[in-house]
Amino acid sequence: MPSHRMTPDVAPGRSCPDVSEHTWYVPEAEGGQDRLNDWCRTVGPPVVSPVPTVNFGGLPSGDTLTVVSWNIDVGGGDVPAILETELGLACDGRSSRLAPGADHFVLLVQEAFRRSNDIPETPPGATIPRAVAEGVRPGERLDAVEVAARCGLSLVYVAAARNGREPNDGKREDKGVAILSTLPLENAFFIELPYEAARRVAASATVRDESGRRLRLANLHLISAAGPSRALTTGNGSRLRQGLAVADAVDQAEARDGPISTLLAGDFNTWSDRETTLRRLKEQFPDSPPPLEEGTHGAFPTDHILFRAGSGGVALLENSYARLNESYHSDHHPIQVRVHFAE
Amino acid sequence: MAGGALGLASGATLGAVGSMIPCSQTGPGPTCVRWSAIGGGVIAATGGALLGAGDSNQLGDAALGAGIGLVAGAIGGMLIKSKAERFGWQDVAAVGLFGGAIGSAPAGSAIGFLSGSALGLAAWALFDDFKSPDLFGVALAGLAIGGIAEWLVRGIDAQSGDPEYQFNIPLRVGF
Repeated sequence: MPSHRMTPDVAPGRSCPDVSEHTWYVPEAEGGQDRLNDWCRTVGPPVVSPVPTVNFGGLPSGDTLTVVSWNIDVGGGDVPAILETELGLACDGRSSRLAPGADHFVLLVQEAFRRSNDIPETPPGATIPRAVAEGVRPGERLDAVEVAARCGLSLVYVAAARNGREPNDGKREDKGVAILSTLPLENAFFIELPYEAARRVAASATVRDESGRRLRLANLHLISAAGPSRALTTGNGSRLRQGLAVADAVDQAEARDGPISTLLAGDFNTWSDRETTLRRLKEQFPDSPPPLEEGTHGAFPTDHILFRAGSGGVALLENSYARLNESYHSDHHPIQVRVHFAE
Repeated sequence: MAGGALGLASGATLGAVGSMIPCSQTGPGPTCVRWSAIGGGVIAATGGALLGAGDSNQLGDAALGAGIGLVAGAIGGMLIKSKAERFGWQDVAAVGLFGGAIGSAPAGSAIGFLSGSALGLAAWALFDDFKSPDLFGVALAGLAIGGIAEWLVRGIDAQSGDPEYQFNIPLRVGF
């Protein structure tokens, strides 16, 4: 299997990502750099709005944070609906508020999208995948930036690829991963995964309670399948390579910032709980909850939350890891876990 | 020499493809695939070398089958390429290679695939944890084992001096 090692230094000759404004970890290995560049230059810059526009208050020591991970199938999933129904957030611009007794939350979104004409026009020779087909559903089709603004949330968003070549309702679209929260999102950084059939990215940010206990969250979306030639030459190791790359980047960030509790979540595109990628990542995230009993994408357990307690004082609440029964018009069910910050 | 080379290519390809799904459910993952490819390649190369030394006609048949399989696989790959985004020429070549591997040992591959499918179906019916990709994986593993075994059996047969079994069928034709 090719190397999964990551570096904060972008390879010479690449025009993106722009590392002058944000911290990135990119593949160290030579292979795939040209392809990554061809995808990368079609998308807009990351969005980091670290402070919620509504003051939801801090996270008191001894309190609990809810973390939800959800692949929203681009415009398919109804994000405002899950915020209101599952997380108790009434979205009303600057008047948005959490229901009494509702936890602070972090929502990790895969296949998040952004509509903006800041996304570059199609450069010659660039790689642009077809737009994701969406079903008709009730409610507005809000992108990640619009959801954050409407609900007063902090936001970290980074795009992996365009969502189609042509504008949709007059605006170009890209898609990637997003982190939305009622808490400030600190130390955001991005990870460009090794190239395996398509460009994929991960995003990370840190939240803290009022006593300063920190939790790093990393949101990833691994490749579903590589082509036959790639499968033959890597021993079918595409997802494993990408998963280990995310873990390597998170480890490098921890070496830089000091010990920290870390939660890794997202769409791993696994079709069983026994898959090599999960086995190997769970060795590095030994405090992960046991696997869910129900599939999250049809019958398949594609979505997971992994955890390592790290510096201590932050732990998953026992038996709190669950799949939400409602899929809110996405092709994936959301999954959630509650994280307890010690007194 | 030619038999060994053809067996090596066929066995290594079958070993890699056949082990991909089962190995993806183990800790070693890609390392398991690599060792399966090496194992399949060594066994089939041995069979191919024995076959080449003992029966050049049968080796010619295997080479012809590999050629037919290669072309059929490549045509199949091109059909997929016309429909699938990001399915490149190297993927067409990979599907062709797999077709060639099957074509070089068609009987063993077919028997193995059917046996694997039957076993997989039974496991799928009996065990909740055994999913449809597992079924496909067992069928592919059966195909690979059957194909590799055919190379070995043909090689041993070619060396035994008793190249094929003959059955006498009594038949009376009346006018």
